[in-house]
Amino acid sequence: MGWHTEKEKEKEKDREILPKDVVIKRIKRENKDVRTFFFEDALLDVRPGRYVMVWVRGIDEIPISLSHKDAITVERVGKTTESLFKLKEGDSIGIRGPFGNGFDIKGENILLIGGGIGIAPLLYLAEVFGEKKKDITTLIGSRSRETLLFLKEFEKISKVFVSTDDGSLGKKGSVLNMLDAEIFKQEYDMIYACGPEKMLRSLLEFFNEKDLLEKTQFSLSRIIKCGLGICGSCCIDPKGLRVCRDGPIFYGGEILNSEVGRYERDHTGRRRKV
Amino acid sequence: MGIKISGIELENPLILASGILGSTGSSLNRIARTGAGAVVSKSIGMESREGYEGPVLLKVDCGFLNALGLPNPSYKNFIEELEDFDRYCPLIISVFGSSSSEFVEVAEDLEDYADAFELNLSCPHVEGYGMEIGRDLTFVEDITREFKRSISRPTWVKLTPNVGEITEIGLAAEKGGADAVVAINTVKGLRIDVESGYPLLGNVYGGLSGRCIKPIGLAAVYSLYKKLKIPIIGVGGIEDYRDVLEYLMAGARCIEIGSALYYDLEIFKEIDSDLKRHLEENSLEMEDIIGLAHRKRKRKRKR
Repeated sequence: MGWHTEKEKEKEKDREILPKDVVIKRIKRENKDVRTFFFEDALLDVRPGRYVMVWVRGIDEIPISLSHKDAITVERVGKTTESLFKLKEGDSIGIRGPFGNGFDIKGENILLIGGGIGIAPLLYLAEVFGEKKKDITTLIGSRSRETLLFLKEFEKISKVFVSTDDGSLGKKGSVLNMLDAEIFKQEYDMIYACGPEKMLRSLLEFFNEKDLLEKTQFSLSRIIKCGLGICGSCCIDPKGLRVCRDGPIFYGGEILNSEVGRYERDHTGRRRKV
Repeated sequence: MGIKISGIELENPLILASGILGSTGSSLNRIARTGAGAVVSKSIGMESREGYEGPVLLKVDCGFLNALGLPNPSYKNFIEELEDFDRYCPLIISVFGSSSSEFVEVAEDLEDYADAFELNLSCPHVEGYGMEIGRDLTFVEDITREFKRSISRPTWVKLTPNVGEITEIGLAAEKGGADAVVAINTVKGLRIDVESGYPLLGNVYGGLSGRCIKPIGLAAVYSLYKKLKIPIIGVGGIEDYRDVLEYLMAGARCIEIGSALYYDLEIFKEIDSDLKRHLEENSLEMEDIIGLAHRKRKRKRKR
């Protein structure tokens, strides 16, 4: 996200960034607490890994990654997502963005690792790699069989391995338990990961030990308020990287020694352990 | 091009404005390394605040409209961020409160970390704070006086432009013992979503910043310079070195930059070198420029 000439910079100065009215075309129930909202109108400048600021009018505005070029997949976790779940097809929301850098899309042999709702941005990424007929392997982690997301979608375009915390499907335990000899029978040109903080920290350490960090890209989540890289609520230590604009996608090496998986900040800016 | 203001030596007159990338020690370190002469923290208060519901920031055609709502972790929890700040340049801590005792209580615990304090008497969108007290001459004078009595660091008072006569507020701050005034904070504004009729900001009202407010900031600085003896820090819509020159000529001794960091995170380095080059090429010193517009006017009047 940037502009390279003075002319581009001048043009950017006149551009308004206000919520755009977007009609919900279709709502798909993924499981009890997760739904995908498809948009009527195409958004500009979409890319896997980018996110939008979703304004539920009268409630609040929250950042959500794209799960398709024209959709977001949302987990019901609080007041704003609860209100979003009450909307029906034909209702509209306000959308600012897409914002953020998006994934660096490259390589022939691709490994995707997603935990929980973190699998959502990887689906859009897999679709883009799938169109290019790349060799994709996907590891999906979930709490249980009921909460597992996008198994069918990934099976269409990739080899899929599953783990569940309760062992109700696939391997028991976290996605880390799947990173065994079988997965690494082949070499990967690029590895993409998104999921809970603890999982990301474990993956950072794991790939660091394997000396593969330069082949890893991570999608991070923090409290994003402005989305434009100026308020500072999403900055991560120790480099002060802005998740909303320098990210949300970072190469492993950029964040190995960061706060990721150790602590994050709440809405007030106070640190809390993860 | 070093400059001294309220007893602090700055390597250049360009300061990071409050509210921009100033809520963590590491982001302040990052901006310090881009060449800022000093950095101002996010406004810190007695109790933690989550801030307003979104949207909290809109980019409008001529600038930005924000209503973050003074989110901060409280002064007690801000100390761990201050511990991370590595003092690459001076740090000014912005403080907000609803009474002089609140301002003092917050600052007492942060004094060791601050090269100066900036009293936020000007945030335009939080009830009971900022502009609501910053519009009242007696409050401004009393809060400044009480603050100076208890806190030994230089004290800057940030003024709201949302008043009839900003110079009266500036004079009240000066009477209270302020070491400098900062002008201006954002201008009260509002936008509406025409599809739905909802106000676009979660808080309805917000503060307008960016290049559209530059003439308002310049007018404030120019009129304050005529009335005040203490130095003025100019802020509002500065995007390049020519904007800085305008503020200096209007009477500012230093300037703050906020919104323009959206366009370029490296803006301090750029403006600093442009400004140095300009002064060199024209064989000028900072002191020749500061308040120049006033001296030109005087000469004209004498004729």
